[in-house]
Amino acid sequence: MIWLAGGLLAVVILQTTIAPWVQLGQVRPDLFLLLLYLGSFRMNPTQACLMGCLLGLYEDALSGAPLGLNAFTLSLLGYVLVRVREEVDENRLFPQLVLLFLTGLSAGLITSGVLAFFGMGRNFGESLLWIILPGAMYTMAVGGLLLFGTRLGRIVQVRL
Amino acid sequence: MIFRLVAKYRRTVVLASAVLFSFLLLTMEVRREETLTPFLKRLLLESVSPFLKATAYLKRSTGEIWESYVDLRFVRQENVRLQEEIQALRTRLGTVEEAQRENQRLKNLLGLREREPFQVAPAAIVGRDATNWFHTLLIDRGSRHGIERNMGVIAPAGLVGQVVEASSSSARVQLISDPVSSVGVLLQGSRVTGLLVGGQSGRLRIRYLPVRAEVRIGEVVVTSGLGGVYPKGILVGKVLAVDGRGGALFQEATVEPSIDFSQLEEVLVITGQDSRPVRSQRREE
Repeated sequence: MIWLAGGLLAVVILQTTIAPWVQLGQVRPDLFLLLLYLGSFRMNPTQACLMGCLLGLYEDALSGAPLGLNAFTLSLLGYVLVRVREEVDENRLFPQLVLLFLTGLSAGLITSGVLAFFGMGRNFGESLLWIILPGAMYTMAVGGLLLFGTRLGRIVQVRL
Repeated sequence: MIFRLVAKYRRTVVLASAVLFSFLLLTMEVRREETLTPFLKRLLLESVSPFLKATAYLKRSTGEIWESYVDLRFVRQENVRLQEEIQALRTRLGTVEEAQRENQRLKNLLGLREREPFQVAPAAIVGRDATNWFHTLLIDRGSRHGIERNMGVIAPAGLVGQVVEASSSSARVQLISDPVSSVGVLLQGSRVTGLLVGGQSGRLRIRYLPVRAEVRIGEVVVTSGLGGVYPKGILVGKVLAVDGRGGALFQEATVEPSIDFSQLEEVLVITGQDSRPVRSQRREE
């Protein structure tokens, strides 16, 4: 619980104040999604679903999104992520990156679908080109760096 | 029996509850039911607001220290450049003063009263939108400081957006580049009005420009004052390109905003008489 509260606070601060510094065009990495992905390593589907809902609620409160938009997306993804992750080898970086990219892509597509359902839909082609694909790639790149850094840290720790 | 069933399908029940809860919140928010969602949103925002303000303060302080150091390094070069600029401006001042006097005389002749500026409240930006889907800012002033929904927000360089949510100590500002933002604008040269809309790519476009209007590239775009949120005459940007499709009823134009939204640190919220006309490109104190 402590790591969740700490992680949530760190992500809230990083996403709203630091992430705009590393923004490429209109796109910045989704650190809430990244926290959910990393958190899913040590959670069961129920916990991941609840964590996704909480993270999503905070993401909605910190954006112009209607409350519930990201809570819906992340609770659904949290549940599915743990199920899918069981099939992915945690010791190999490439499958993790692919899963992270697909998670980002799914998050974008679900968000786009929900917005359209509630009559707030955007131009799909424009959203895919400017938001969904670059966002998923950027999140994957930042996640990849984190995973690589963690692995490197472990290797150094073992060597020492 | 029910408890046993819930225990058996716990995972599915939790997933369904979370999804249903989110969906209900979304429905309430979209239908603008002022019951649970504003309260919940405010609660969530207030719980992290002190941390955001502290981080923004730290960021500003660090930035100021760095800027002071950089300023000291380049102060000599800057001095020479400013001296030259002062000379050039002195020359121009004479012409401007003469034009001002002439303007005043003509105004008196026409019986126009002096246009009054609107009231503004300064606010610092403490956070930016957490998602890529919306273009909003979080400011450190809220309803406690007289900030309300639908108040216009400006910066010294021009129009920023409008307040869309206000909690007691913070407020959310929707930028004019947001995909759902729309502002009535006026092209200063050709005197035609249109609707400025944002987009997912962050580009600003003016729609519904009369097809026969002669829109020129580089033309200054200001608010039209129609719609009641923004006073007339606030600088928005300049026309970058004109897109007049053959056979279309209207033409469109791409606008370069006068403000770099990513560099904004402070803004001014228009709290006073927001229907009065103002001078464009006016510098706020």
